[in-house]
Amino acid sequence: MLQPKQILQIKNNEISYSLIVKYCKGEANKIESREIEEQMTCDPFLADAVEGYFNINDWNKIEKINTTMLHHHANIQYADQEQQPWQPEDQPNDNPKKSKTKLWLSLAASVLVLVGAGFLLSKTLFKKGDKDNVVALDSKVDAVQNASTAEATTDTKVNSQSSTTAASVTQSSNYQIATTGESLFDFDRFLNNSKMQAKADAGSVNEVKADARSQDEIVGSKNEALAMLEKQANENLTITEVKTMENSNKNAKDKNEKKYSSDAESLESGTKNASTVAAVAVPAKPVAIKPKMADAQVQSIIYQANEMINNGQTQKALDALSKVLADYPNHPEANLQVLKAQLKNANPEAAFKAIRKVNRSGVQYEDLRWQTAKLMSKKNHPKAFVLLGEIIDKKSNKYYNEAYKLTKFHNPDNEGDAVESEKSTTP
Amino acid sequence: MLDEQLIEEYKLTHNPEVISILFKKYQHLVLGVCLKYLKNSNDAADACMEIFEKMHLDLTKHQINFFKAWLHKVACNYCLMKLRKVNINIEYKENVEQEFDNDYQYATLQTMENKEADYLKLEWCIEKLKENQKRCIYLFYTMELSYKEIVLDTGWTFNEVKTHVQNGKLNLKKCVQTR
Repeated sequence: MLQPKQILQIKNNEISYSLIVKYCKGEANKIESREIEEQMTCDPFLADAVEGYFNINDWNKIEKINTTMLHHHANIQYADQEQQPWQPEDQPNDNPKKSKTKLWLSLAASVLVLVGAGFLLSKTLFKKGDKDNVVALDSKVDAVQNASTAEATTDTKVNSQSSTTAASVTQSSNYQIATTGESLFDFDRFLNNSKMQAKADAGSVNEVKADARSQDEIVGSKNEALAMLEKQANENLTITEVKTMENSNKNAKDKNEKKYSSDAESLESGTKNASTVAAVAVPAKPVAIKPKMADAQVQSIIYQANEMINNGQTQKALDALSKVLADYPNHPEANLQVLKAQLKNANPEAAFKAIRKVNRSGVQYEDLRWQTAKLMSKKNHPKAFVLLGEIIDKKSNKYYNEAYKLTKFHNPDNEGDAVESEKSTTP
Repeated sequence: MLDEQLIEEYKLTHNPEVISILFKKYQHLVLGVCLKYLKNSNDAADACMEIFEKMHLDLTKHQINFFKAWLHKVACNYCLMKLRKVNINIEYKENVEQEFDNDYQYATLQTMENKEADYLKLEWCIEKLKENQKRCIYLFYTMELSYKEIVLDTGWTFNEVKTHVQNGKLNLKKCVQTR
C-alpha cells in the first residue's frame, strides 16, 4: 500500500561525504542506503553528486583531491577577500595582510611628504640666505674706525678670497666700503629707488654712496624692488641698472645676480663712470677668482721691500709691494713701506696716498706724517696744508712748531700770527 | 544556522568564514556534480574550487532564496559552460533538461510540504504516471527496494532508476497540486 505522506515527504538530512563514499563503494548497510536514496529523491543535488561519485574508480585520488581542496581553500580565503572591490571602508578589517599593506602605504606617503616639504624648505632657505648674507662665513669685514663718513648698512658679500672693510661711523646716507678682491654687494634694498654711486678716491678707497632716504622709504623701496625683481625674473627681464663709479666687472653682469660685484683691481685703478648691472631672480654663482697671496709671502715681500728701500732700490721695492697691495690694498705694513719708498722717491702725491692708507690702519706715524708734509710743502703740493693742519692740531706733536712755520710759509697772510705764536711758545 | 542566514551575514560582514562553512558543507556535493559532468577528477576538482572562489562575488550579486538549489544550479551551469567550450554539450542535453526539472522540483517541494490533505489524490495521480516511473515509484516506496535492487529487478541502469524515481515523484506532486 502506498503511503502518500511517505512519498511526498521532504527529507532534509545532511548526507556526509563518508556516507556517500560508503554508499558508492557498496559498503553501506540497508538502513544507510535507504537514508541516502530517500534523500536523493528529495535532493537532486545529492542525486547528481552520487551519480558523479559512481563514476569514480580511484577513490584514493578522490580522497587526496578532497584533502587538497580543503587545505587550499583555507589558504585562499584571505586572497579572495582582498579582491572585493566593494568592501565598505567602515567595515572592520579582519585581514591582517591588508592592514599591513595599508600601513606601509601610509608610511611611504608620509616619507614622500616629508621629503618634499624638506626640499621646498631648503630651497626657500637657500634663496633667503643667499639674499641676505650667505657668504659671510668666508668673508672678513673690518670696521675702519678712522673712516670719515661711512656707514655699511648694505649686506656685503665677498668671496672666500676677498675681504671687505665696511666702515660704520655716522648715520648719514653715505656708504663707504673698502674692498679687496672681488666682492658682491646686496643692494636690493636700494634698487629702483636709490641711485648708487661708487667712487674711488685718490686713496684707493672705494666709496659707495647711496642717496638713501629715510628708513621707511628704504623698507618700502625694498619691497617694491623685490616685487619688481620677481616680476622681472618671471619675464626674464632681470636687469636693473644702477649707476656706480666703479669699473664694471664682467662677473658682476651675471644675469642671475641680484647683487653688485666690484673688482678690486678696477677699484684700485679708480676708473670712473662705469656702470654695474644688478640682476635678479636666481641665486648667484660664486665668482671664480685667483687665490690671494699667503701671509708668509706678504711678510717676506714686505721685509725684502724694506731692505730694498734701505738700499735705495725704491722702484724695485714698489714693484714688489704692488703685488701685495693688489691682494691687500689696505695692508698697513705694505703701505708703510710704500710711503717710505715714495718719500725716498720724493713723490708727494704717492706719499700722500700712502700716508692716508697707513693712518686708516689706526697707527699714527708722526715722523712719517711730518716727512710727508714737509715733502709736499717742499714740492708745493696743494694738499700739503692738510697734513700740516693735522700736525698743528695737536700742540703736543713734536713737529708742531716746524709744521706751524711751514703753514705760515704756505699762508703768508697769517705770518704775523705765526711769529707771535712762535714767540709765545718759545720760553 | 541556516544557509540563508549565513548568506545574509556574509552580505553584511563579508566574513570569509561564511564561505568556509558553506565550502565544508557542500564541497563534496559540488565535487560530485562536477564529477558527473566532467568525468575527470582533476577537472572536477578545479571546477569545484573555481565555483567556490567566485562564490563571494555571486553571493553579493544575487538574491538567493534556497542556497542549496542555487548552488546546485551554479555547479551544473559551470560544468556545462566548460563542456560547451570543448563542444560536447550535445551529449549532456538531457542533463540540462533535468537541471531545469530539479530547479522546479525545489520550488514545488517547498510549497507542498504542509498540504497533507491533498495526499489522498496521490493514488489517482500514480495511475497517471508513465509506466517506468510508476514501476520505479512502486518498487521504491511500496516494496522499499533499494536502487540497486530495482536495477536488478528491472534491468535498467542505476541512473535510469534514479531518474525515474525522481521524475515520478516530481510528477506526482505536480498532479496532486493541480487537482
